[in-house]
Amino acid sequence: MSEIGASEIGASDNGANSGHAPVPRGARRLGPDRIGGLIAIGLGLVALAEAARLYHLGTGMLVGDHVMPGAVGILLVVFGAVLVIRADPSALMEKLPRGRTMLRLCGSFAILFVYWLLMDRLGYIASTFIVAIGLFKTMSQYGWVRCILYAAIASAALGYLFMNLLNIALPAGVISFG
Amino acid sequence: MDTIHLLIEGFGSALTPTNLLMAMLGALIGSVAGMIPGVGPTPAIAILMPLTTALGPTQGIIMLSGIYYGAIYGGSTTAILLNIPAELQAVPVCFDGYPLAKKGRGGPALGIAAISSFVAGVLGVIGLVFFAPLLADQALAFGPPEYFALMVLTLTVIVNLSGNSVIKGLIMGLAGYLLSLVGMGPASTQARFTFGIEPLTAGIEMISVIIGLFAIAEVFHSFGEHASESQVPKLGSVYPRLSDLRDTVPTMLRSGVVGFLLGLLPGCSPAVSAFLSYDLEKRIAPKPEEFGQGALRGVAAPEAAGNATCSAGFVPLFTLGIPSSPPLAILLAGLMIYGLQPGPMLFDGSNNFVWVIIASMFIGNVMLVVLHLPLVGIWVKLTQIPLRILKPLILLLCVVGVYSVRNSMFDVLVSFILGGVGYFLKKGKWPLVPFILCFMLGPLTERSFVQSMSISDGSFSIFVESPIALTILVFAAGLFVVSIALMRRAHIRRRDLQLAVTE
Repeated sequence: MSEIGASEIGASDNGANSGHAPVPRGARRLGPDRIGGLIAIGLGLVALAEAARLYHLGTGMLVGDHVMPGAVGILLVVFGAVLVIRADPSALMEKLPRGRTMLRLCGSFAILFVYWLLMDRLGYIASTFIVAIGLFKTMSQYGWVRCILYAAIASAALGYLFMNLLNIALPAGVISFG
Repeated sequence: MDTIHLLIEGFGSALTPTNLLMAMLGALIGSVAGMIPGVGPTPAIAILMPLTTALGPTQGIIMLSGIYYGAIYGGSTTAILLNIPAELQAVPVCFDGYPLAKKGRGGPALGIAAISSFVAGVLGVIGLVFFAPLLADQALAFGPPEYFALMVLTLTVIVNLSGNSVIKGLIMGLAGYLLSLVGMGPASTQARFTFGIEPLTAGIEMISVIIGLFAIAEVFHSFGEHASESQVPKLGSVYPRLSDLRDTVPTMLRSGVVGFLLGLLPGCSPAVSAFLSYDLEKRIAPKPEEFGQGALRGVAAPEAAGNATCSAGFVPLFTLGIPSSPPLAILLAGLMIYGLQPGPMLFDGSNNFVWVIIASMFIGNVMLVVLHLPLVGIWVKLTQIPLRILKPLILLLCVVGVYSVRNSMFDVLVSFILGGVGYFLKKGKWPLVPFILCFMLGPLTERSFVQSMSISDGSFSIFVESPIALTILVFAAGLFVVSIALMRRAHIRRRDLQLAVTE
């Protein structure tokens, strides 16, 4: 999770060697920086629209809640345009995972949203147990027995630590330590 | 004398069993986080910060500070033994640390790194004691225009935190600023950027942004990587020889002072001072050709300079609220979550909060050396913990961390969404720190601007008429130019050094 890794020390700019790859096929013409620039322009326009909506509530051109959204909007549009114009379309971005790794990545992310749905309904410990099984399976790729064992230990330990020892108010749900 | 008196009082409070325990726990947790390849100080502080809210502000910040310098200290271990720098500032430590480890002198390299870190930490704390109150006194005269000028000065930090592209850093900063505008405006009761979603009227919770961008995005960014299978070379004795110490102590002191002075400049990151000090030592060394081949001075210089800059970073952080590195930006968020606004009030005589923290930093530095040198074997084993076990646990901790702040599942959802956004931003090499910095400072910037404009009836002359505001704005412009020049210089040096090491 570090910003840089050993591979980057003395790594060349060659995409194949440094973990980088050309941008995805559909975006090749634009390049990642240019896409970013366009998104910045879009955000800037949203900010400007909000500033225009709030303008009548202010007491002057430079006094009111519209000023900062307006200023941020203008700057986002300007810098976004600069990036779009000056961006190198052949710029490299880090390689996105493919195949089964991509599936596991999407699966792990989906499991987090399941956690969000379940926690209020089942409570912290039960939902953590279910979600931990999924995460150990998709992220760590352990066998089912080990996933269930680790999930049981993790959910019980975390539940006891946060709910009982640290007194953090988490949804109690169907299982708790009383 | 007042300062000394307050510091003694600070030591009195820091030496209470609870505060000592927090300093030790923080240093230990930080060391572990820094040593596990792929974690590092920023995610470590981001993940653990919400959990420290169960403690009081003093204990919480003592623990977070301990995590910070523990992780910086621990990061050198992986840089020396595995050639994996946890943060940019540890990169020059790799240049000589890893060759030393390969020669079987990893132990002395770790020992010198520990002693350098301690010397720099102590120098930094001494400097902090004398510089911080001076700066805080000046800040007492600040009103809305001065605070707005200060916020502009803070934003020059973005240049140093932008990585390779200043324009991308500026866009990320503006995007963070935009997100901070969500919710009720300061001048009216009108909600902004809520698009009819009711929970957004309360604004976006800071911890959701931090956890989403720094923890969840990081876990997914390293998806499929299992970096901990690296082999650790033979260590040798961790205690350096007397001749090693004679050779490196002047380097430690020199680099410590250089690092501290550079760290006082808002926006000078520890990485810049580590690279510059390494470069300086190489230039004045009698045998510069040894650098890159396993010179202990090449370990001592960046380690001392980087750590002194980390300590010095607390001066602008505590007195003006300006963070100079990503972990300090998260620590600033920690202060705000505890309801503590950095500035002169923190140094108010009736409140010994800052002095307890400073005393704890000194104690923490002593603890780090005492714990690390004799137990180096255990610490080395920690570098072998498999990330595949840790990653799911980190995600589970993130959820509790976000939920516990406002008991809100909406905040959890926001952190997941930002985790996904952060994943793609990291893949596209967009810097995240300017985003979080502007998100944190956005409300204060807007409030001080709106108040200034109300006072002056919409005239910008208020910023020129105030001598302090004008001075700060001129300083900000100068610093902006100097930061770009320094960044270019460090970039060129880094490239040259990397080329030299590769050759």
